[in-house]
Amino acid sequence: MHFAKAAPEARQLRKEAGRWLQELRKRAGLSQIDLAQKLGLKYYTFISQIENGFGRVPSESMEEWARALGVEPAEFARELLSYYDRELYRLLFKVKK
Amino acid sequence: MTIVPFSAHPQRPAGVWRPDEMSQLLSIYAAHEAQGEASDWDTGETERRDPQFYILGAQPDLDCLVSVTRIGDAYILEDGHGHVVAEGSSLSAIAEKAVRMASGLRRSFLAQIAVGWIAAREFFEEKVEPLMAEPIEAATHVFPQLAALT
Repeated sequence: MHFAKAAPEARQLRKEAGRWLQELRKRAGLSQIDLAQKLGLKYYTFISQIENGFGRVPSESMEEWARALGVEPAEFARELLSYYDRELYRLLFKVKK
Repeated sequence: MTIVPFSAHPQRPAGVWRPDEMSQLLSIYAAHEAQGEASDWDTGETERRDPQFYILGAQPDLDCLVSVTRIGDAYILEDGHGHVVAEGSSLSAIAEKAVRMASGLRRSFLAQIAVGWIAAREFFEEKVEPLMAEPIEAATHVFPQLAALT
């Protein structure tokens, strides 16, 4: 039994999440500045940080992000969970390994 | 909220940290690593090609603890949750604040060295470098004072 994700995998998944978010943003026709504005952020730097795979969308603002990107919040959170915590995602949604 | 887009500095290439900036950023990393918080660092850039520097936390998640971004002439210091901790045109001042973000009141020896190094560098850049750049002007300031001593 293993308890922790291997670091390279976690890093890789974070990068994939970033790419997915960037794709959603571009599909919504938003620049990083536009999205920052919609989220009430002073700068667009945090969005870049997340899209580059060095941060995660905070749980408390997932709904806001989803609405800004034109995505259904539950689906958005579910997809992000598959990147941020694959094991929890597997258990919750009964996904086979 | 209005986000003001900064114009890029004509003498600074977008998306790239200068070596002197990198050495200050690495001193921030050293302080956080000395506290046992940071395990790696990396760089990236925004859509507008503003360079970013990330200090990453412990494995396996490697969450970003601190990020520094240069937008135009300004440096933005943020924590890992996107909260702006400091902003300004002096990277030395930003670096000092970033070092102080390293947890715990007991600063390690390495963290103290980092703070000292930043302060020394700032002193050199602000006081000594201009004097060296204009030696004649410096001489006019120094020689009368030396003459007064003799």
